[in-house]
This record gives sequence, C-alpha cells and structure tokens, in this order.
Amino acid sequence: MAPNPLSSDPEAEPVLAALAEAKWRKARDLAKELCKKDRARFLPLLIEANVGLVREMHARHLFKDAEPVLAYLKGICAPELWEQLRAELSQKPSAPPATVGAARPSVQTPTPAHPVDPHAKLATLWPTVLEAAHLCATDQTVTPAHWVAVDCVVTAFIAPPRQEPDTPASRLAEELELVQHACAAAGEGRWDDLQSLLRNLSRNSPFQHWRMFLRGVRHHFLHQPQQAQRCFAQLPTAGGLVRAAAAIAGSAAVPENKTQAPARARAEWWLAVTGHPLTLAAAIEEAQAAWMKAHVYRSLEALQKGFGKDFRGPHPELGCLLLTSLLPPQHHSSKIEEDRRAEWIGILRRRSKFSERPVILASILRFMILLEAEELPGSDLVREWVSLHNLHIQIHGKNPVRESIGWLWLAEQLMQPPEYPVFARLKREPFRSQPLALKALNRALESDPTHEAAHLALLHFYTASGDDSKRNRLLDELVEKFPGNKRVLLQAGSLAAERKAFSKALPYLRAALQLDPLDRSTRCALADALSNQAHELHKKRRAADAVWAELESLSRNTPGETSLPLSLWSQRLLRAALEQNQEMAAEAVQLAPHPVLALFVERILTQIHGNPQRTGWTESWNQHLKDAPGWRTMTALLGTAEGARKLKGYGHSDSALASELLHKTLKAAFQTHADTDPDGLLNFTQKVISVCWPEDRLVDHWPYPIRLRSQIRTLLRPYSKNSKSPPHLCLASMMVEVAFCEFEPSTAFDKKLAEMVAAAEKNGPASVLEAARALSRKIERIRENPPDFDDDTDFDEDADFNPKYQFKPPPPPPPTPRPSRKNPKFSVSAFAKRLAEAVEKNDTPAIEQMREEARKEGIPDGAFERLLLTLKDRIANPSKPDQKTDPQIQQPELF
Amino acid sequence: MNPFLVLHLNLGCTDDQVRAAYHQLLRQHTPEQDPTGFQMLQEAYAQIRTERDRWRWFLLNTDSQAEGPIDALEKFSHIPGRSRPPGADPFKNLLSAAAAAAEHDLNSNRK
Repeated sequence: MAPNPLSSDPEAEPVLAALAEAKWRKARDLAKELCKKDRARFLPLLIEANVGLVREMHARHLFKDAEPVLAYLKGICAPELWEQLRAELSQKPSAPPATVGAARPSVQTPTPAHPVDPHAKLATLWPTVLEAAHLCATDQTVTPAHWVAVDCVVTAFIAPPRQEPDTPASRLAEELELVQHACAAAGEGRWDDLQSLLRNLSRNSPFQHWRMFLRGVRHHFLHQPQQAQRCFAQLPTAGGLVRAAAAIAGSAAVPENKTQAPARARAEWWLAVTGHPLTLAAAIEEAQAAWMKAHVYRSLEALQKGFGKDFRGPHPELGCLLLTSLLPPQHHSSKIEEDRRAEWIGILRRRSKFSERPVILASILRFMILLEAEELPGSDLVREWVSLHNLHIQIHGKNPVRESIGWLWLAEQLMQPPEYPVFARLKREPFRSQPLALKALNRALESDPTHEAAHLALLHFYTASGDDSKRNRLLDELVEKFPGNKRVLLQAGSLAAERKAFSKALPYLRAALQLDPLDRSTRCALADALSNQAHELHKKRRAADAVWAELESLSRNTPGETSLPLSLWSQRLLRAALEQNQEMAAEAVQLAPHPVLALFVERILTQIHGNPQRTGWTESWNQHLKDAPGWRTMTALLGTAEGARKLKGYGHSDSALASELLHKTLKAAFQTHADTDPDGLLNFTQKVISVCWPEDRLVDHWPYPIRLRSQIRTLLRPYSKNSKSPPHLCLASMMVEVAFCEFEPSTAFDKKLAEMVAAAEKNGPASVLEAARALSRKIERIRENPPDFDDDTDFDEDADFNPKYQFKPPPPPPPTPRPSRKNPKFSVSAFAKRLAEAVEKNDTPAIEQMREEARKEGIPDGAFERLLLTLKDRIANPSKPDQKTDPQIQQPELF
Repeated sequence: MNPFLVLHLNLGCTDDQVRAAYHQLLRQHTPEQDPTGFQMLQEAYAQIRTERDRWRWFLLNTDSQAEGPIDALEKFSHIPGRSRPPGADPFKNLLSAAAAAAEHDLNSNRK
C-alpha cells in the first residue's frame, strides 16, 4: 500500500482528525463530501472510515448493520483488503478496535474498558506506519502521530498482516518482526542476540528509535547509566518509548519527560526487575492512590492487606521499604488522619502483645518519638521510648550496643534545656529533667561501657550541672580509658585550659592534633590554649618566647583565614598588645589580608589591655576608611568582629567599641559601594543576618547583633520607603526586616517582593533575582512553620518602622511560669523606670548601683546590658513620636 | 535511601559482611561508569560501617521523606545492582502500557 499523502492536505484534515478520534460515521460523511470533489484523491479516507465503522459494529455485535457497510466496501476497496477484512470479521467478535485516536477511560491508567483486538489495531495502524516509513525514507519530518502509531504497532506484539513479497510493506513487516524479537531478547537479557538482531535494522527504518531504546536498555542493565542516558536522550518525546525509558532508568535520565507510563505498569515493571511477584502491584497501586489523598493509614492497611498475613513475610526488604515510604506521617495531617493514627496505634499495641505486628508498631512509634521528642513532656518521652525499647527487644532480641545508643539518645533529649521564653529563663533549669537524664546516661553506660559518646555526654552533664569535681575525675578516667580518642583528648584539653592547667591541657591538645592534624577545631583549641598561656606568663612577667613560637607554627596566614587564633597577624597583634610593642603592632597590620581587619583587632586589644593607643593608628584607620573597604572586606570584618568577642578579657565596653568601629566602616562602605557592587551588598546583608541571629538565643549574646542590625537597618531604611530606589538596596532592606521580625509578613510586603522578583526577572541583575527568590522561599517557610514567638520582640525597635510594611502582630505567647525572685517586693516596671531616669541623666554611679541590684535579683548581665543599650538608643533619638507608646518602656515586665 | 538496601544487607550483618558487600558492589559501579551509584555506595557504607553505626542509623535516622509506595519502589529499583532483566513478558507489558499512554496523550492534545 502506497503511503498516504493526505496528511499534509488541509482539506483532509477534519477527516483525519475524526479518524484519529475513532468517530467513524463523522469521518465517513466528511470523506464522502470530499470524494464528490476528487474521488481518486480522497477515496482512501472513505475506505478507512468504513473499515473502522464495520469493525466497531462487529465488535458491538451489530452484525446486520455491518453487512451493508461491508457490501459497500466491496465496491470501493481493493479485493485483497476486502478479503482480509472479511476473514477477520468471520472470527470471534471482539471489542471495538483501538486505533490511534481511540478514547481512553482514564488519564492515569489508560487501559481500555474492553480488551482491544490487537489484529484489528494493527490493521488500522498499518497504513500510518507505511506512511511513517515513507517519511523516514525521504528524510521528511515524522509527526508525533506517526511515532505513536509505530510504537503501538510494535507493542501489539503480533505478526503484521501478510504483504506481497519484495514490496516496501513486506520489508517493513520483516523489520517489525525483527524489533519484536529484539524486545523479547532485551527483556530476557540476551544481549548478544539483541545486538545481532538490531544490526539487521536498516538505517532509514521507522523503527530506528527502537534500536536506540533497546541499546539504552542494554546499557542500563549492564550498569552503564551514562551510556543509557545518552541513548534515552535521543528518543522522540511523542512516542511511548520515552515513558518506558523513564520507568526503566529514572525520570532524570529522560529529557522533557512530562508524562509517565501508568502507575500499575510501572509498579509491575519495578517489581519484576527487582525479583518480586507481580501480584503485589495491585496492593501497591491501591496504597499509592490512598497516599495521594493523604490517607497514610489507609495506605498502610492496603499494603498490609495486599502483602498477606505477615507484612514482612517472604519479602522483608520490600515490606520494610514500603512501610517506611509512608512514614513519617505528614505534619499537617487532617483530624481524621490523626484519629486514624491513634486508632491504628491502639490496635497494633493490643496485637503486639501477641507478637503479631511489632515491626509496624515500632516503625510508627519510632518516627513519632523522634519527631515529637521536643514537644513531649519528659516523663511521656521516657515512657514512649521504653515501650519502643521493649518492642525492639521483642523483635531483635537483646543487644547492648543498640540499647546503649537508645539510652544515650534519651539522655540527650532530657539534657536539652527546657523550652521557656527567654526572659523566663532567668533561673532556668539546665536540663529538661536532671534525674531522668542521669538515669538514662547510667543505663547507656551499663549497657555498653565502651561507648565513648555516652561517656562524653556524662561529662557534659557534670559540666552543665556545675559538678566540677565529678567532671574532673571522670575526665582523668576517660583519658586513661581512651588515650587514642580525639574527642576525649580535645575535651580534656579544653577543660583543663579553661582551668588554666596548661601543663595538663597542652599535652592533651597536642596529642589530639597529632591524631588528626587537619582538624581545624583541635588546632583552634590548641592555639587558644597557647595564647592564654602566653597571657598568663606575661602577667607573671615570665618569658613566653617558646609559647609564641609554637603558636606561630600553628598559624595559617592564608588570605581567606578568618579565625583569629590561627592567623599570624592577630597572634602578633596579641603579642604586641601584651608586650606593648607598637612596632610589632604596626608590622602585624601589614600582614593582615586587609589593614582594616588588623586595625580593628588592634584597637580592641588596646582597650582590653588598657594600653595607650599606638601613634599613627587613628591616621591609618581614617585613611583606610576614606578608601572605603569593599563588601568582601566588610564581610571579613564581620567575621573578625565575631572572633574578637572570644578574646580574653573582652567585655561589654569592648562590644560597644567594636560596634562603633563597625558602624563607621559600614557607613563608609555604604557611601562608596552601595550602588556599585549589588552582589557584594546582598552577600554582606545575608552574612549580617546569619551571623547576628544567635541560634542559641543566649541573652548574653544579644546586644551586639541587635545593635549591628539596627545600624544596617538605619542605613537601608530610606530605600525601603522609596519605590524608585535601586532594587538591590530595597531588597537588602527587606531581608533585614524579615530577619528582624521572623513572623508572617503583611500582604503589602508580599506584593512588593513579588514586584521585585518580576522586575528582576525582566531586567536583572541575576544576584537580585536569586536573593529575592531566596527571600520568598524563606517567607514561605516561615508561613509553613511559624516560629514560636518569644517576648524578645518587645525589645525590638519596630515602633518607628514604616507602617506600609508593618508586619502582622504576632500571636500571643503562651502563658509561662514566671521566675521566682529573691525579693518578692521587687518590681520590674519600677526598676526599668528608675533605670530610664538614670540613663537620661547619664548618672553612671546610679546605673552601676542598679546593675548590682539586678545581679542580686538574678537578672543576667546580658539582659541588663540589653535594656541599657535600648534605653540609650531611645534617649539618643527622642524625636520619633510613636516611641511614646514603645512597648519597651511601657512593658517592663519583660524581666 | 536505606543503606542496608543499597548494600544488599540485613540488620544483623557483621562489619566484615558490610565491607565485603561494599567492595563487591564497587567493582560493578565504578566512579567513571556510574558516578551516582558509586556515590550512593559510598554514603551507604559510611552510614553502616560499624555495628554502632548500624544501630544508630536504625534507631535514630529520620531521613525518610514519606515519598509514597510508587516512588519508593522506583528508587529501590534504581539502587545499584538491584535491577536485572525481568523476562520478556514484563518488558512487553511495560512497553505496551507506555505506548498506550502516549496514544492517550496524543488524543488528549488533539481534543
């Protein structure tokens, strides 16, 4: 049969469309009209429509209706085709023929409602395949419909209709048989047969893409994924092979793969290739359907039912895999699902007494406990963990290693500090439950006395609970017990250095460094200990040259080195400060990656040690400020300032000085580089946010980040109000706002951010687009998991913030137990008012007196300093009208 | 991914068995030919090298993403060394279903 040239004919298009949709009557009527115009040209269409119609009638048992159509066909089609059709129809009647265009009942599982007769399908598609062959032979573009038809013909897996010998149709039929044999060979892993079969496929065959596909399959099973990927990447995206390839090699292996093979077929394939019975596919499909509707426990039930009495049964791997694939249950599961979970766990618990379903129960309980450990009260956590522990003994028998790990985890949870808002932690307990934690640790060590992590946890326990004598005794025991353990040596060395027992600390730390010479934390700890020893020796007026020499040998004076203990210039600056050697200080400044970093550290050290300021420091500092350090240097300076906080003797006045120096540098950088380096500014802003937000939320760390962020916020504030300001400045301002507030932003904020993303997508720059998207994602995360609101925002300086971007008020904090005070008559509000007055009058003795008073009342120095700084800032900027209602002043109950 | 499944081991295996399984699979999944598989093997080995590691992973891992049975099954079949030629019939079934899906998509697009 000659290839149909009508596919590109616009007149024939409606008929072809109707044929493709299996609308035979419509196609016949349209074709009749066309035949009236040009019978010779459009007759094949009329024949095709009538063939489809007669087959459909026959499949529906409308034999009488089919007879006149068949008689009509006899008059218009070739005798051999009519004979073939007649022979086909004389067989057992079947379902309506499936052709390219037959409608399917479902998108997910496009399996026809009635079984398709493959012979009928092949006969219908054969002309299209011939047409595809013609297109391939003449180097014309093959349409998606042709690819689909070719793939359908191959996957019918039956012999093609008989053809006259030595015709293109007969050669095509031979090639089809060849490809079908090749498929069988590939499925059975007969790779040599496959290669020899594919070799016989002609270069311009319409089945060429099957050659590529089958090669890809071979590479996949021979563990050559890159080659397989290359083969699969060349497949036409319209046909069925790209879907099959996605199932075989993974979706990532196939480009532009938007649709998949049906779930059932994929499940059967994966079961088959991993050696599991295909009968499990139905259960997996059912479980998947329930899973997609977020019915986790219904999904579990379906799997359990499908896998028979024992879920683990003969296929433990698969059962275990599928069970854990449903866990952990979604956080935002519905009330129905929550009830279902409780019901399930109840049933399983009752059954588990008879050892029926302990594995499932243990899996669910494990996730529940691990994910909800922080929220469960201590006693409940212990109870649940013990029940899980018993289940594991029931399933796996006793195992000291497992038990020790389990008890240690429980102890670590119980050693977490209890969750209270910051200002309720004035006299907080160090642990959630001290006695339970100690018991759990002892159980862990009883189970496995060689468990180093448990010993270290016990050490931490004694340290945090302030039992120094027990801690030191344990430490000595540990060093003897684990002389080759780096963590033990590091811990022992660091703690001994804290006690200024350098003769003990240094050998431990040196031994730890010898065990792992590349470990940065050990190197830092040794450098810290050495610099502290030098400090002590200097105080005693003894020579420390050997110590300085060892310290210098540890240094890494690389440009990217930000760690102060490990940089040569900072070590020399420290030495210069201790020895009051100004020349050495000046030389050290030259060694720094940027002089501003060294000048900053030098100034801090000068203040710490009460030394006179070096001659020329101010000129040098002013000169470098005039040159304005770039954003990269600013980022490094931020890291240096963080490191400087760990310098020996660093106090609150030094923090204020550091903040002032940083602010000046920041201003200089803004004036010069605010517009010229958007990437640098955004990176720096990100660094400010991440560095300054203390994860541990310890009160003592707060004044520094709050002040620094206030400064950057003040500099950026004008830009956030001006819609025409440069996008990177506007975005930096928004980033700081989000970092400050950490609760749900308003719709105005969202709108502005969306506009910014759209503008950046259109005009760039790429860095702004990336940062804006990151900010959007962050806000989404905040919305999904709103942070627990502490009353720390009462100290926030949001009162004068532009109301256009005002954030929604946070939810009210949960009621928390107020800390007990030594003096029951102590009034925080009165105290705060008195302090505000003292600050306003700049009455230093009164402030110092109040500091002492606060200490006596158990208020930490950090909290006091924070309030002091805030009051100073308020008094320094009294012009803002809404400060009158500032919650910091009006709500002094924060203490 | 579950490291026991990656290395074809069960929970009660010994250190020697873990090492042997790792080395055997490494021979089939070299970094040159199968970088993803090699990476997966490395990670799995690091997670369950010692008995303490194995029990720690078993008790305390929370890396399950709750991905659903079909996705889990697919990932399982893509673990190095897990899949093998399944036989002619399952292969033909997959191809037929994929072709039917393509046909269905084509019809949907036309409509």
